[in-house]
Amino acid sequence: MPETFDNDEMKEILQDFLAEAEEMLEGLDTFFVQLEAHPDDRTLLNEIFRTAHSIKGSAGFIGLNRIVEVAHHAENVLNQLRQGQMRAEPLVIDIILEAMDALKLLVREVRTGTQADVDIESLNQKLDLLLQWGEDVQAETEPAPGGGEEFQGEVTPDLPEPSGSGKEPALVSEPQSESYQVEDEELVAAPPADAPSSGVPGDSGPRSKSGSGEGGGSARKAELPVPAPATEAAQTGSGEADQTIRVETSRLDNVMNLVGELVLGRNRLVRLSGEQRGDIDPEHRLKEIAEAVAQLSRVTTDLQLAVIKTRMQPIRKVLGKFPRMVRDLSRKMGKEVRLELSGEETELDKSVIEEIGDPLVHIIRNAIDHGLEMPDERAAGGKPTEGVVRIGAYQEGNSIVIEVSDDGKGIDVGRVREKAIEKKLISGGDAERMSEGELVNLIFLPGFSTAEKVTDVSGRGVGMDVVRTNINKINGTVEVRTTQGAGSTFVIRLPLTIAIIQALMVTIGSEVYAIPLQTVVETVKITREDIRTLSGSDVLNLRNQVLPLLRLRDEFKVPEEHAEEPGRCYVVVVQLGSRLLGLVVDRLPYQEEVVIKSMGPLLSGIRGMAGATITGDGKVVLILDVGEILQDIQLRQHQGPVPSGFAPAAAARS
Amino acid sequence: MNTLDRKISGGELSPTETLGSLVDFGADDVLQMVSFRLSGEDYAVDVMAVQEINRLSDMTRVPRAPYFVDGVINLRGKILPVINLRKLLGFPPMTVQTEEMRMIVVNAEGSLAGLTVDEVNQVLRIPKDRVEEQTELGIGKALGDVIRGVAHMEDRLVTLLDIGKLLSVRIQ
Repeated sequence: MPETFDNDEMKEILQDFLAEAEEMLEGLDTFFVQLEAHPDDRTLLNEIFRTAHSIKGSAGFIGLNRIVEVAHHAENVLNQLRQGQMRAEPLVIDIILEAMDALKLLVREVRTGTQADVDIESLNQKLDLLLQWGEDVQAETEPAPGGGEEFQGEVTPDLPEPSGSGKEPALVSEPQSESYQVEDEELVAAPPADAPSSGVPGDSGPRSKSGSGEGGGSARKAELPVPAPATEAAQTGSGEADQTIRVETSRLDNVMNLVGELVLGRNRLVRLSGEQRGDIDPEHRLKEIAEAVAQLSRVTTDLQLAVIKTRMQPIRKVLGKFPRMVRDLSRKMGKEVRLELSGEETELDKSVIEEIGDPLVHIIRNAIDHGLEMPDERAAGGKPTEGVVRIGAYQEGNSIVIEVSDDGKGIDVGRVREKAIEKKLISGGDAERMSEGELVNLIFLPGFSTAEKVTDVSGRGVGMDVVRTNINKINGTVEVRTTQGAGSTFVIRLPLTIAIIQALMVTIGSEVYAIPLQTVVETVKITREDIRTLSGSDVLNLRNQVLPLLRLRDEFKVPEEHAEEPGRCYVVVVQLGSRLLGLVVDRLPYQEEVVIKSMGPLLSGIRGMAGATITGDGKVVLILDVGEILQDIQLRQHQGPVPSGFAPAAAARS
Repeated sequence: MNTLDRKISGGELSPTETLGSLVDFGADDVLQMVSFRLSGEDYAVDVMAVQEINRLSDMTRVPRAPYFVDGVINLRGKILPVINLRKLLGFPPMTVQTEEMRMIVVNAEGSLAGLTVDEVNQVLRIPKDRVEEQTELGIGKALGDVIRGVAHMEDRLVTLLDIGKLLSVRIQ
């Protein structure tokens, strides 16, 4: 088989297959979860069957026999489902999903070139047992009067209500299903020959053989180390992140059009600059140049937007994984959970899409694990037994908002306060000054949660600082709102794109820095005399609120060129979560849209710097990482000798 | 001095030209190294790691950067960290900028950096048997970490630096 991959064409086909198969498998996950809620949805069943069939078909065409084998066995079961000979019980779905997981692993195996640890034999046998069981049930119920309707009613009396997912009441009453369950468990541990049910093992043997036979070529061969092009693909693709992107043709056409205009604009400028004849009125010429420049600037802006758009992907790509995850989690924990998604079409930059998955998983897990109560507890509290987790995404101005809310018990703010004081994250005085909203957001502080302690605080907070760090990394923010007894909502705000941001330029002495505008709340013009000290650190009395200050001149050890600091200066008030900080700078020359560039591995570890950008005049300007600056200051406060909550600049000047 | 050397020391080397494309490569047992001076001593780096040689340009200081990083510059749209080799190797930094000072842009495994040196000399062809690969010379940790060997040329010693090691020196 490998020799057929030697040409580029085949590599391309393989790449296409991988992208397509991964997408389809992800889609199937969601379909199956839907199917569980609506077991009789014919359209859905047909769609599922078609998708599975086409995965099998393309895999067979390329000769990926391991995939074909599993897909074939799964397809047999799906066929029975489609023909109404079996019902989509949670248990059935469990096994099919297991097969889907195996397929995912096998597809990844082709991509990475390392053999996945998948026990195809036992999985196939499981699927065959399931098939056999379906046939048995069919055979037994067939003599019963009436058609399919009747049969469904008989076997699964309480399944039609969608809320029945999570239990298997119907299955338990069936003797076959009980024996099947036993087999299933044993199958996981031991070879199928030990399965107690008669007839089944004998049947599964030949079946799997015929399965591999149909795969076109021997299954053994397919288990040999994966073909060469796959390893090459793995090398070009770094890590998990997908290196390719699918873009709508219309968007590319738009880019092409704009590039065309760009070229026209350039030609115009070149012509204007090349014209040496004196017969053109210089004033007229200047006007023409100004026009050409205006046109170029307009086209560039449009082109920038158009290129950003090619990198945008619907958030569905991330959210699509969650129905399956929520289903598995709720089944594991014996909770009834309904997942509601909205705004799946909302688009985000590819890099944001890649980064946002993990934090969302964390938040959703938390919501189900700790937020939602057990069904009986909910019933006792007068809530419907089924808990709801809602994920909604929408655009708000220049940012995308993702809200994850649950209708569980909420976060106990009192406990959060106690914990925070106990861990010396805030002082008792701080706690008194803080509002409930500010207090609950303390769960994002590093050091708030250490595994076992946290479960005390209504269970919330495990690794929430990691969630915030990850979201900060892509210039986003996260906040939580909670109502005791009624649930919590996590609000994530993300920039539309992470490559280009609006920045406020500030100067300190002769140096210029850029502050991401989205973190800036306001700017205040002050004189040196306005700065007060409180327990040795600089603060500003801003509308009767004490605002901690950080002198960037000291913080960045800006070399003093002028002996005297200017008497007037500016304070840029930045905010992250509920924390405010005033950055003292000399001047605020202008605001600009900047492209964030990495400073390379040598300098990427520097705290407080998000990267650098190149301004119109070719100079390099560093971009501040406000999140890191705030974090560092908070850390210093708690380690520092000053007991007050507002002591940021004290340590900075040491 | 041949044309190439003049080009290099004159700083005329076009940014788009790489040294590698100009050098005639000899047998495998000869190392081709770009040699330069630091505080009166001779050093050299592998010609294949050198992307270009530029005059010093305006730099942006990076607060909290490692002591040997002078700042970053804009190299045709890329942000390039500039390493002060004098500081890295423990020499006293230059107090004034001289006309001869250059920045050697080096590339190791995709990471780029500029190295400021006092003066760039020429491309040396060093027979491998002249190189003492011994790196435990008792020359202090700073140099020991980035040294590749010492070449014994007729009248002088040339210290060969390992660019890969040099660029992997991280913030401690």
